[in-house]
Amino acid sequence: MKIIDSNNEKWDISLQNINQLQSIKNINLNDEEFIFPETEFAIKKNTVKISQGGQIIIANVVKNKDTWWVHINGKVLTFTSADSRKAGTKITQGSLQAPMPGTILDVQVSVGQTIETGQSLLVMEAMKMEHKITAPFSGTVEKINCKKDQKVDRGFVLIELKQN
Amino acid sequence: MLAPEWMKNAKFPFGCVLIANRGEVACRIAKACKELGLSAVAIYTSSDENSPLLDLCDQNYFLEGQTLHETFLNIEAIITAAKETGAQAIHPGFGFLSESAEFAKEVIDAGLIWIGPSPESIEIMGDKMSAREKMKSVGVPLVPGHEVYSTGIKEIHDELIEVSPKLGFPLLLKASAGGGGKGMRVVNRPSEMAEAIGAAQREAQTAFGDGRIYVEKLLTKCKHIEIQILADGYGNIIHLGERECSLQRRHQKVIEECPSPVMEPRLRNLMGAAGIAAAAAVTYMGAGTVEFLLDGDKFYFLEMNTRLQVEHPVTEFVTGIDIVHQQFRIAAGLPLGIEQKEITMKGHSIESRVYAEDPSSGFLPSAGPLLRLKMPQGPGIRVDSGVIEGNTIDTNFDPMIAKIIVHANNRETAIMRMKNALKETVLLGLQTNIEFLHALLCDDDVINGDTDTNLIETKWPNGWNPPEDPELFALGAIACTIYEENGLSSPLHSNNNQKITNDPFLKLNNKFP
Repeated sequence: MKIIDSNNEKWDISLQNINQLQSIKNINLNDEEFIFPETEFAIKKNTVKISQGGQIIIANVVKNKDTWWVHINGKVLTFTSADSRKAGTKITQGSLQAPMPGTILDVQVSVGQTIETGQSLLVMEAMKMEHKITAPFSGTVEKINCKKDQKVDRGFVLIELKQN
Repeated sequence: MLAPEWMKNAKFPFGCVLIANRGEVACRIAKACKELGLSAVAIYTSSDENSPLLDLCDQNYFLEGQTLHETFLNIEAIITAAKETGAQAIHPGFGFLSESAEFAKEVIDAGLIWIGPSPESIEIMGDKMSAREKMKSVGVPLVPGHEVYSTGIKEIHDELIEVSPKLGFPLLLKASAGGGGKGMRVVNRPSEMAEAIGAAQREAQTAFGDGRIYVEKLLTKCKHIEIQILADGYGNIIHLGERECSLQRRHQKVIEECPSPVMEPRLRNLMGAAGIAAAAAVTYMGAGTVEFLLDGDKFYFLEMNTRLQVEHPVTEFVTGIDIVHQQFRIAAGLPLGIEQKEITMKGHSIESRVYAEDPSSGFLPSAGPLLRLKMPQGPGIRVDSGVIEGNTIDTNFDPMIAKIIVHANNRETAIMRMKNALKETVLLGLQTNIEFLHALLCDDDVINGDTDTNLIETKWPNGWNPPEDPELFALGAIACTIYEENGLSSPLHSNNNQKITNDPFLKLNNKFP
C-alpha cells in the first residue's frame, strides 16, 4: 500500500503471511528500498502487535476520512493515502490557510487592497483564544474566502494573496 | 432530597446539588456528590449529549441555546434549572460562572446554597485591580503595576504610556476580570501598546464580558507558586501547602506539582501565612488559591482564585485532603475540623494537562473526534476526564481534554510514573500535547526543578516538533497497511457520536483463529 506521512515522505509497503504472522516483503521510502530490522506483526483485538528484537510494541490504528492515526509507544503519527493527496487542491504560497479550526472574528482587509509584510489580515478565535493571520509578504489581496462569524476547519484557505 | 447523615449537625444542610459546569470538573464534582450521598444535577447543551457526565448525575437538565451566553453563562437559566430539579445548592466548578459575584448573589437570593465564598469576597478578588488595592492595605507584597480606571482605548493608552517609564518594559496587560491567560498581552515597546490594548480588551470582553484591563511589570525568570486555602467562615483559615505551576504556555498551566522542588519549610510558612492573610482580608469562606510569583526568595501576590482550581488534585494526593469534600462541608456550615498543625505533606504529585492543541504549530487549538481513547491506569495514577471514546472536541470550549495526575514517594519516581502514564495514553483523532508533555519531563531543567514561567516559550518559541525517527514512521506505515489489508475499521464514523454496533473484529477472529 502506498501512503504519505506527515513530513510528506512516500512509503510503499507490501506484506507477506508466514504461519499466520505477517511480515514485511518489501518496504520503500520515496521509491528507494528502506532497510528495516526483522519484525513480525499480528493482529490482536483492535490493535497491531509488533514484535521486534525481542520487544513487543502495540500499535493502535484508526482511520478518519483519508487520514490514518497511529499510536506507537507513546508517539502519534498521521498518514494519508497517496491517492487523496494527488486529488487535493494545490495550495500556493499566497493561499493563507487557517492554522486551527475556529470562528472568524474580524476580516481586516478587502479584495484589491495593498498589504505589507506582517500586516494583520484577519482575526480568528478558537477555545476563547484569539489568533491573528498576518501577511507573509507584501502584495495585494486577490480573494477572501471567509466572512465574519464563519466557522472554518484547519487548513481552510482563508485569503489568497498575490506577491508584489 | 434529604440531606445525608453526615450533615445532621450542619447549619445549612442540603441533599441535592446542581453542577453549573461541564467536562472533567463537572464529572469530578458529580463523583464527589455520589461519595457523599448527595444527589447531583447536570446541566448540558446539544454539544454534550454524549457526555459521560449525564450518566454520573441523577438528573440531567437540557439548556436551550447555541452560545455560552445562552447556556453555561446564563444565570437565569441555571437558577431556573435548580428550581425545577429541586436542587438546593449550586457548585460552579471552575471557569464559566465560578468567579461571578453576580451569579453567587443570584443563587443566594434565590434561596439556594452557593458552594463558594461570599459574593463580596469574589467581587474584591475577582476584580484584579481591587484585589491589588486590598492586598496593599494588608501588607501582602504585590507585583509592581498600575490600575487603570479610564475606559476608552485612547485614555488607557495615554495613561499607560505615562506610567510605563516608572515600571519599565516589557509590560503585561491583564484583564481586570481575568484569569487563565485570557485577555493578557505582553507589550515590549510603546509602539505595540495601542494594538495590545485593543486585543486584550476584546479577548477580555469575549471571555469574561468585561473589557477592563490593567498593567503589571512583566517579571521574567520567576516561578509560579500558589497556596491552597481552606476557610470555614468561623474564622478558621488553614493552608494546604503550595503547588508549583511554572510550566506554562500562553500563560496557561501545562504541568503542576506539589510540593515545589525549590520550597523550603521556612519559605512555605511565610507564603502560607501571606495566603492566609490574603484570605482573611476578604473574610474568605470555602476553598481558594492565592497565586504568587516567586523570584529567588521574594514573592509577590498575583491574584486569588476564589474557586476550586484545575490543579487541585496534586494537593489532594500529597495532603490526603479531598478539597471538593471540604467545599461541601463548608457550604453546609460545618466547621473545618482540621488544624494547620495536622496538615502533613507526603510524597510528590504531578499533574499533566492534556490539551487539544498542536505543539508543532505553536500550540494552537485543534479539534476533532476521539476515535480511540485509552487513559492510563495503575498504582498512584488518577485521571480526571470528562470525555469518552466517540465524543468530539470542538472549538466552543476550553482545549483541556483531561488531566493525568500521579503520586509517588519522591519526585524522581513521580516523574518516571508520569512519563510512563503519558506513553500509555492513547488518544487518536485530533492533535494533542501528550508527546510534548513527555518531552517536557525529559528536559534537564524540568528534571532539576529549575523552571520558570518562560521556560516553554524560551526553549520552544515556535512550538515543539517530535524528533525525526524514520524507523518509527516505517512502523507506522506498516501498521496502517496491516490495518487496511486486514479490513480493520475504526469503531466510529467521523462526525458521528454513535458507536457502530456490529463488532468489526469478529470477522478477523475467524480469519486468524
